[in-house]
Amino acid sequence: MSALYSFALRLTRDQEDAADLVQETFLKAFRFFDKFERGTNCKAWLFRILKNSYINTFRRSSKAPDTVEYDVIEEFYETIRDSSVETSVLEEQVFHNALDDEVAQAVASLPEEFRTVVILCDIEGFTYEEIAEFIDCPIGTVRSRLHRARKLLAAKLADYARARGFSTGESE
Amino acid sequence: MEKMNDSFDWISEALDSGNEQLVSERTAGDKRAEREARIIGAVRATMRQRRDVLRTPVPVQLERTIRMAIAAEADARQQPGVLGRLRGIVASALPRPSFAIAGLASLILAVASLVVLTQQPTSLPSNLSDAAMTMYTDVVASGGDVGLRSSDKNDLRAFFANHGVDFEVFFPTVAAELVGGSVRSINGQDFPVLVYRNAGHFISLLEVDNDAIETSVVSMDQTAADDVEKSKWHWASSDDRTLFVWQSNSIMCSVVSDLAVNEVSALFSLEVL
Repeated sequence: MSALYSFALRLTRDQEDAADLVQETFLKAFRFFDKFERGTNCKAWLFRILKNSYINTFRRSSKAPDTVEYDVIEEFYETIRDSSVETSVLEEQVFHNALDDEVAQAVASLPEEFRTVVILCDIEGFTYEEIAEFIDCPIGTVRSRLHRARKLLAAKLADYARARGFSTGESE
Repeated sequence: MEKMNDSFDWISEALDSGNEQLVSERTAGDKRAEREARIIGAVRATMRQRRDVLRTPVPVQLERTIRMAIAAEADARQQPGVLGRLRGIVASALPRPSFAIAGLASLILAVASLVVLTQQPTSLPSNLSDAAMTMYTDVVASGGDVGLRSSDKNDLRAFFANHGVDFEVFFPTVAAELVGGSVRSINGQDFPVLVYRNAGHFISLLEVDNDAIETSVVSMDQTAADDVEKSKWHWASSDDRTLFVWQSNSIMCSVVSDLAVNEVSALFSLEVL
């Protein structure tokens, strides 16, 4: 339940909504048991119900987080795509020293599509195939979103490091 | 989104597959690729090292709330003997962390399977048209017997809410006497049925919320779905019975009667047109 609640919280960004979402998930699991294929991944099944419930219910409500236009994401991504690489800002040490709050904040700041895949992969440990099934998209999309999510996280964590006075100069 | 193209996408996948060797080989000599691999690897490691921090603790109250909600739903299904015992098992399992996901889910599923099995005689087919037709057959066979005999909409609303219907029931304007209402199950989910009478003819109205259709609890014939989407309503006749299907906000309504098509459409004209 911890993983479900954590995922719900990342999606909704609201504790009350996350609790409602988890409750709805378990109730749907109770109601729609006959849809569960015995022998398949029960955790994956619950995550799929949760994700669908979120799409069907919470995205329509006024409390749902604002969605980000793809063009905006693309533009932002393109700005960090090369710069974060060429300026040598990011090194293992910078990430290693990141504060827990900073990491959490960086994850929270990701556009929903990116946040979802990075949580499912890096925090919950699902495979690309499972994630593709949850979010109903091709594995290639999971791969590209995950890579870009990590790049966006890198840029965010570098910003936090700079703000804390970490050296962000050229290292090459 | 997918039009964004990044030639280094493969690095993430290779790292997630535990294929660091491939990453080293393919990025060797390319400073930009090497740096990209280091960045992605470092972010990935940072995230994974902080899994516990990034997972927010579940509020204690939530588990209790879920237990109570499941118990209430089980009660609504009126199977107190077996379910009571299983709820006890669920209750004892929930506080134990090791049971949190697998245990709870298995027990919920076990409870649900029993409910499904024991409720088979009152379940309707999952296809909306078939369900509506079957419901009408039952209404006629029972002489118009209903779960609550009342024409009071408030009484019926309370009845439906107390018997597992989890959406606001729609009461269309119908030129016929409202006999009462019943609750019927489709794939384990409860739906309301309103029964009307007009000049000795029964009319049954089965309501299904869109959520049930979207989650495939209830299916619709493609023809019916297309008709409703394009034409607002769908009708069909079979064995001297008329089926009308239309959508009212988030509810799919399906009416069956032995009245002729024009008579049924006249009764419901304000709603379906």
